[in-house]
Amino acid sequence: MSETFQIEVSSSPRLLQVVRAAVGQYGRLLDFTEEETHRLKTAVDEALTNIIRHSYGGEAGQRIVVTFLLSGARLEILLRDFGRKPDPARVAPREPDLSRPGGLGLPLIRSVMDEVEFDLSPERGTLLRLVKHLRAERGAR
Amino acid sequence: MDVAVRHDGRAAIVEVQGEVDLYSAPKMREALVGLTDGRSPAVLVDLSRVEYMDSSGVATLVEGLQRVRQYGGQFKLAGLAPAIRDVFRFARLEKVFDIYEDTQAALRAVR
Repeated sequence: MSETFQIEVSSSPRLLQVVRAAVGQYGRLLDFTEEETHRLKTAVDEALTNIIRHSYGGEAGQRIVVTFLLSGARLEILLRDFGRKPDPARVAPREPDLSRPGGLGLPLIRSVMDEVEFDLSPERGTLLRLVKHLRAERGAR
Repeated sequence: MDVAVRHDGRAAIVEVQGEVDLYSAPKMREALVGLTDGRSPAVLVDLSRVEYMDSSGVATLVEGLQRVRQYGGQFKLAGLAPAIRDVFRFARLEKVFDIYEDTQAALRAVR
């Protein structure tokens, strides 16, 4: 069984809590523990924060599309923005560093998700793919 | 998110409640900057009623710590729920901060 849903949100920091609430609800639906749900919320929130701050330079009203795809025990979250592409060096895996832009958010995302991939190939913007492998007894039933 | 500041002896206690993220962190920063501009000798941040904190909140606390250290003051965190502590652990900042079980323990540690 597979299922999907999509949230389109503008690059407004005050909407982050709305997306977190939706992610929290979905985590509970997937029988995630409170801890797992919190971590999933953190990953999506940090990804959106990076998009707002860096791809759109803090400019509100820009478009972000978040797609959730569940296929068996694989949860894929796609974050599509249409702003500036990140410097490939900035998104490479590295240690947390608060002195650099996105220095903490991305290591946090990598610590929570099983796969993190930046697709810089779209003509405009970036597609960030986050993957979480669910334990066998969870997921779509 | 709500932020309130109260004083207990030499310490200023910043009570934060709710969710700290890119939207709300500036409010916490404003309180911390006010205290550090006034060179408050001990700043305690009570996080016991914080339900969520992302890297924007953590970065704000790091800035507070750096500002307090500049004038030789003390900066302490108290009451972190496991999920909040998780964020500090992932960021490898658990050892950077003085973290206490609750504000009473943090107050007792103020020199």
